[in-house]
Amino acid sequence: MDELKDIEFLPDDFEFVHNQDIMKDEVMPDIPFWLDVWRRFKKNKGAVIGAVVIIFIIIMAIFMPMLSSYKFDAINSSEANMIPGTLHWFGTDNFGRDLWVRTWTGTRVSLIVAFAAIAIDVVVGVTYGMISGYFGGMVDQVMQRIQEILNSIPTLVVLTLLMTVLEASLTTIIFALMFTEWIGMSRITRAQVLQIKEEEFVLASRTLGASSFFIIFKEILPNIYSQLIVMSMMSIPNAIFYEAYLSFVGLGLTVPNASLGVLINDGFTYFLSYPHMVAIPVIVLGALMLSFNLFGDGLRDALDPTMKEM
Amino acid sequence: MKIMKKVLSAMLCCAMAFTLAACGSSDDSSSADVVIMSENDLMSLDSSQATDGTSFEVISAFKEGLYTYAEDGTLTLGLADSVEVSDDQLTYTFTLKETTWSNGTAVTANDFVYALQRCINVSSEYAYLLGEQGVNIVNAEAAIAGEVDASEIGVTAVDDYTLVFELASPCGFFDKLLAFPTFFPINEEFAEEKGDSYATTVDNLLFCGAFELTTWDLNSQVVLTKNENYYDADVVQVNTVTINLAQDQSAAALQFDSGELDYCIISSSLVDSYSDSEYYSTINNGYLWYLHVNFENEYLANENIRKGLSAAIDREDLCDNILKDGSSPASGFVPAELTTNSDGQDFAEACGDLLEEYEINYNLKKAQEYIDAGLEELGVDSISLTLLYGTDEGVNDAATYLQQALNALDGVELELVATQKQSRINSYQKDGDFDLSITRWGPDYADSTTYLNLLETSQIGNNNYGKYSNTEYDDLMELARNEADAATRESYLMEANNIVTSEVAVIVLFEQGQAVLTSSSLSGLLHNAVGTPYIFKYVTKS
Amino acid sequence: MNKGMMKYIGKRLAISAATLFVIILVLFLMLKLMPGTPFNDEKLTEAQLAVLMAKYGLDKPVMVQFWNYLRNMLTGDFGVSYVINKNMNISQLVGSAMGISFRLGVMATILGTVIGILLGIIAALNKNTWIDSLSTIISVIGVSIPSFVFALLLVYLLGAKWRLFPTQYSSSKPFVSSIIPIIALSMSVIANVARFTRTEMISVLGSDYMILAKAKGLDQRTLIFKHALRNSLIPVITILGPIMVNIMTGTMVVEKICGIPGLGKLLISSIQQNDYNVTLACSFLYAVMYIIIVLVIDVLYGIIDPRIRLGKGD
Repeated sequence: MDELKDIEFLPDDFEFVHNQDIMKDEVMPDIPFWLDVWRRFKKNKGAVIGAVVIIFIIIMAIFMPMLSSYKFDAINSSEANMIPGTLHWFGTDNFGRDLWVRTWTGTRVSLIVAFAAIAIDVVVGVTYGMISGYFGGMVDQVMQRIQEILNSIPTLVVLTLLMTVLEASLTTIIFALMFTEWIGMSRITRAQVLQIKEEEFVLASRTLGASSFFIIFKEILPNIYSQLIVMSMMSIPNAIFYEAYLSFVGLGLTVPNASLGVLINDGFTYFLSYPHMVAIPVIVLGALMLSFNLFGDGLRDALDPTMKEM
Repeated sequence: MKIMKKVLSAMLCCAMAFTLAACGSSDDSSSADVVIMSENDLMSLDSSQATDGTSFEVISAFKEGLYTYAEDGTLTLGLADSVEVSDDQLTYTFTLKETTWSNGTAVTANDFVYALQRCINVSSEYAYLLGEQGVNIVNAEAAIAGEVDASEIGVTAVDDYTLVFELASPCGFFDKLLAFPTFFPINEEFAEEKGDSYATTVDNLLFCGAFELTTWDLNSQVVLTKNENYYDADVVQVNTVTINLAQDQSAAALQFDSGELDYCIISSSLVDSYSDSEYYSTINNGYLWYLHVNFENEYLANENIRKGLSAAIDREDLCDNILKDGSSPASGFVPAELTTNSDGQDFAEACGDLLEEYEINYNLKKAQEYIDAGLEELGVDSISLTLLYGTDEGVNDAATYLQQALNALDGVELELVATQKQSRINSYQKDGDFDLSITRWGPDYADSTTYLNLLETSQIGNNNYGKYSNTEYDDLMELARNEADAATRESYLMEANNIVTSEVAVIVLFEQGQAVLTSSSLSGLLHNAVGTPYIFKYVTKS
Repeated sequence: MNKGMMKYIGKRLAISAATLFVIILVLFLMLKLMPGTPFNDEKLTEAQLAVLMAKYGLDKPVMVQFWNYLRNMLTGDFGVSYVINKNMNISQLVGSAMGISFRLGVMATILGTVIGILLGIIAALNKNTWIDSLSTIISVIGVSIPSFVFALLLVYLLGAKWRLFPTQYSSSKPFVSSIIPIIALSMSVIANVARFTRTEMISVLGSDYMILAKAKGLDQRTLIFKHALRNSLIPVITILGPIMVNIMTGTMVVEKICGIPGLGKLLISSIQQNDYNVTLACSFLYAVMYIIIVLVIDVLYGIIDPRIRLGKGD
């Protein structure tokens, strides 16, 4: 055994016979949740394109009406019905109003309507869903029946009726949209609340004497926000569509205001003579709805990869 | 799975049945079939209740009155064979032609009596034509108000073929009204038998006119087929007239291009594409558009302000460059082509361009002077006003234009208030909750009083929404009402028109025109600016 | 059909009836809030208006009117139209409009489902190839872009530019003139069904029993049509409900573009003209259709797949 003493062992004296999986307790670097989401999101090409288009359209909608020398409601009958050109990039309508400015002003209005409506939807829907789900029993029963009944009236019927009872204006449209769109939010919230309220951390919180209010808003709400974001993103195209619909059937905004729906409605009557008048707002509307759908899809997959499509 | 298969096959069967049915009903067209387009729906085929142009057109095609239109558009006796008028012009005695309804029963004097009583009994919108605002038949006004029974009115059937009208005051346009569907006969026995369902389907109607109504697809189309039993059937040259109801104008233009339509109305949006075409023309459809001015608004009660607003509107630019449908600037409160005076001159033409005369037509500099003067009188720096309009009235273009035009005045701020026609009239205007309101008035009969009556003090609470009141004006209208001499009466009415226009009791805008396409093979289609819009009797197609 | 199922359907019907009652009540009250009366003509005098209001019972207190309406409705009498087609029976007026809308909706659903399923199968069988990507792109576009945009596009291209089909509905040529709206309406159906079929098909193709079937040596055709397709189509039924509801609302706009005298067009014009009875009947019909579709789909699903225990889910 003495001769072994002289042997000096070097690190590369041995090599593995074959590549063995040796359990190494390697700690993954701590990636914040949002970074993780971002990484997954980036991989989804459609979603990224959607996001870029949305950002582009939003920027255009904010800045273009400011930068242009034309005003969206300035009438100039000597320049009426011009086709797109260097003077008016999207042409002009029958009043000679610049369609470039009108399109982006209209987009802005449509986006404001959509975002405002969805924001209110979230507040109403989440509150309703949480109260209904958390308290359960009679409260839940009654609230669910009310919701069921509201849900049995087709959205467009409710919207159409509301728009006639109330006077046509931006706030009315937002209110009308709020009236119908919160149901989806409240459903998701309620389902989540029903599930989460049985979890141990809620029990623990309650044992420690937390009030219902505290539990609902501090314990349960943070657990469902990602679903709410996804739901909101998916609802925005709906809101944009409904606004366009209302304006299209003549129940929406009043002249001289513009929204995508108003522009489509105005352009529609001219589609034989000047197809660009309807084509441009339709393309913007389509791009916007498509992008929000793609973006929403991507966001959902990124936020919760376990959620199944549909 | 089996059930699913069944469901699917059932669905497919339905689809196929539908397809086959659809194939079966394809139309066969011959040259004697005319297809025209109407932008509006047909609202009622009951001549005592109809109120809209499309209904009047169709009713006038399948029924006829005591008077009817001749080929040149003048009036001639229709179902009446002869007429005798008393010297005081208060009693009219008609002898009827011997004609029959489509079920074989004779058209009798009682049918006319019944129709007019029915008109009052169902509270028809046009019942007023029998009263003081119209013909003024004895007792009609009281019957409309419900004070006496409708059977008390001065229309009597002496025998089957003799009909007597008794009027409370002379009426210069009685013959024109007798050619209007409200005065058409309705067979009492048939109508009473059908009850509430009378005139709601083709089978629940009787015909005595140039055509019979053979198809009525709700909201879609009506087909009129030549009535072989019509007394003047030789004149009718076409086999069928099809009217596409509530049709979109762009679609109609496409159909016109492909030869499927012989006549259609096109919107101003299409005028650019068709104005060079040989088929293009414009017609006057009789409506006068104007702004109701609320005299209870302290600013608008000021005459200078009203004049300023009127002078700020470039009516020519609006008509030629925005509306483009043949509309023409209004020159006073009575539109052109409404009625002719006894000397043969058009009433409006005889009045002259009153806007020009009273310096309230477009002149932005002048307008600003008026406004400045008005503001000084009122002691304010600026005024803000609202302009009410109905989004369903096809007036969006004009509203947009007016908003821009009136805002161009320094010291005036105008805001648009949009609503629907029904709430414009019934909520805002009735409650006096408006400053300016865009409105239109279609003449019901060819006389200037169809407009001038509207602004009488007695009409406050009725159609005088702006609450304009001028005793001088009221006196003139009263004088005209009781005047039997046509020329004197006309001079009173012209003076009345001068007063309301010069005081800007309403701000008149334009007389509505309509751009139309007529195929080269179509001729003989009569158009009236007043009353029944189109008469199909003399239509020919080569 | 077992007892549990009957009980379930009974319960659902009871809830539906209650829902419909509340809907009528709410609609009725809402309509009474609307400004004006159905008799808008400027030529009517106050006295005449009073006669008309009395004739149709509109001068009575709202709850009495409601009770009368309800009572008549149960006997199938929805009243008469006041404005749109004066004195026309509502069942006649709404019936004709509904027939057209319903026909279009059913045609679009059938067309869309058939094409959608085919597209979904093709995509699933060619997973991750360009065919699949193309089908996905079509689906995403179909889902995101509203049907009226398609309708406008088709009217412009097929109708105005190439003159292949009539742009407007015409009752004398109901089939040819329905082609454009049917295609426009079916786009979203195609997209939804294709997307769903593809997902289901892929998951079925990868399941153990399919691997077993393949191992048994069954040929490709039997494999796909006998085993895979059957099982992947069942879930498709679940989405047909929402799809049909979607189509119903879609028709409201497409009807305007294509000039179809359907329910949506009637509803909008009745609201604009204060024709109460028509508005009520149209809205009511929409709600009934909606409830029935959802109910039928639920029940159908229970019959096809007995594992689904009805009444438990919400």
